Amino acid sequence: MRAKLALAAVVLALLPWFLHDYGLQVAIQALVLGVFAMSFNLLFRNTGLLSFGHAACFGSAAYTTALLVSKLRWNFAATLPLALAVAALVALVIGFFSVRLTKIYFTMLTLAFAQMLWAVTHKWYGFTGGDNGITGLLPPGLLGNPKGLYYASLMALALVCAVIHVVRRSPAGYTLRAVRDNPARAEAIGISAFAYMVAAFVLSGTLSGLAGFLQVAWQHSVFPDLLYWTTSAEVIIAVILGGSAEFFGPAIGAAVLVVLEPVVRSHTQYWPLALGMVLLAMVLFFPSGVVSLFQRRQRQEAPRAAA
Amino acid sequence: MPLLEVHRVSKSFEGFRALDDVSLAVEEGSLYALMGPNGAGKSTLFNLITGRYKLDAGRVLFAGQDISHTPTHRIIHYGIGISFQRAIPFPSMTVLENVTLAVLALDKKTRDFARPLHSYLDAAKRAEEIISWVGLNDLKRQVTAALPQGDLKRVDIALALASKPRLLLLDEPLAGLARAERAQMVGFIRELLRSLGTTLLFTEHDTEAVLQLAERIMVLHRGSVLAEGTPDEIRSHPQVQEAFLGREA
Repeated sequence: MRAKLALAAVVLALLPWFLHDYGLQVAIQALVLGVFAMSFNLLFRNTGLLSFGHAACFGSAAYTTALLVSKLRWNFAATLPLALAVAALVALVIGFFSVRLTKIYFTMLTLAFAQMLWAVTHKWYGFTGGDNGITGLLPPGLLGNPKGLYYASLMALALVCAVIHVVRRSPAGYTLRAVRDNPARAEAIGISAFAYMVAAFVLSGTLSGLAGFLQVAWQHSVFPDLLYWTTSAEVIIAVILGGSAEFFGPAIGAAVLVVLEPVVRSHTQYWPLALGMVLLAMVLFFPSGVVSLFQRRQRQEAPRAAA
Repeated sequence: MPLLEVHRVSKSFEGFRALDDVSLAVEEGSLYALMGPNGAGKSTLFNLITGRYKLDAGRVLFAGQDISHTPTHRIIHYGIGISFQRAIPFPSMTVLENVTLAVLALDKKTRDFARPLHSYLDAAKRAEEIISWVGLNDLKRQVTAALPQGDLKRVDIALALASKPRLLLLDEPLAGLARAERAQMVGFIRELLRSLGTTLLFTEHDTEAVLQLAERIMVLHRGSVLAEGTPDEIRSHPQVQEAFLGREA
């Protein structure tokens, strides 16, 4: 596993030197969505809560950076702490009210919160620019350079993966699993299921904010669609494609989704139809995601190699 | 002063009176049983004491402290261990991880998001001690999802013991067990409590098991107290004989 991880790190580190400009842009987009998907899955995998409102954390961080840069002339990179703080605050508010509910009711409430934030952003022309968004947000220095942004995004992905790995092994990570497996039993060993679910929501939302910040650096602009339900849906699709049970599944799913779209669009205008068919096939035949395809192949090849 | 006092508690569900004006007192060191058929109100009373249900009326006192409206996760920290009727410990974890987590929860160390759970050696040592009490040493590295019902009950009791309870609450500890396993479980609980000196309040509808294990018994019938006393008093109680022991008064 460590050898595979080291090989993947080397490939990812060398990738920008073998990609042309467009390929590099696609790679950055895949990394940003990867950060978002890993962050989303921290909540989904560990607590079983399916949030349809993570666009609110992603988009609020993006808008915080955009507003500070465009209105207060802040240095782009200096906006990161405040962008993360706003994402955390948004996650705290949504999480506090939503985790009291379960299953579809939780999902619908998170969606409602995100849609409210989208509606405000969409209509508040004087502050957010409404549906015109905020443009011309070219970051200076490292983040303004495609290779620099690629490596910054790669480091962000590595950081998020490291945080998730550490949390999963910690008592708090085990507690989240306990709450997911049996909340009543968790309460009966002295754990407040509510407090831990809110904490997981805030951590997941804050890390999603990191993806939102990188999104602005990549896109040089923000629009209300960053807060729209389709953004929440996109990250869920990435997680389904990659497989939520596999550690790197969401990041791999994000890469598959981002790479697949231009490939399909170059052949047909019916990208949503193609995506729907891929999702249908995944859910019906490979519910554990694309990572399970490789593992199945490895399992089939192992006995042959041994023979 | 009794360790646990329940004062005139009542509970209704959508107009149905599940429990009506029930009081009991459990002395420290005693083995107290709530007996009755399904629907008698045993589990409702259990869930009211453990804070899972809200009281409509009455009070619950533990060691003189009012715990009537205390949520379950806080009740544990007063010294009450809880084991549920459907024993489903955390299935994705091993027996040792289950009990270590319960030990850490009591010490409020589950708030740690950074240090690995396995590095809490003191907690693991305490967990291993508890696992040996319930006789699961050989299975401590097993994922609980793969365990049979009898062993799951023991893991669930181990989770309850991790809270260093002065009072152990067991809801139907024999539910789902085969006849041979039931006799084993009764012996196991009696031995365990004798060695630990913990007070026990348990619910059970297996009359024979209750009469074997308990020192005092409350018989509930349709949400009300039918009788209360020692096993001998319960055996000879005319209404209990008529209703549960299959004999005419």
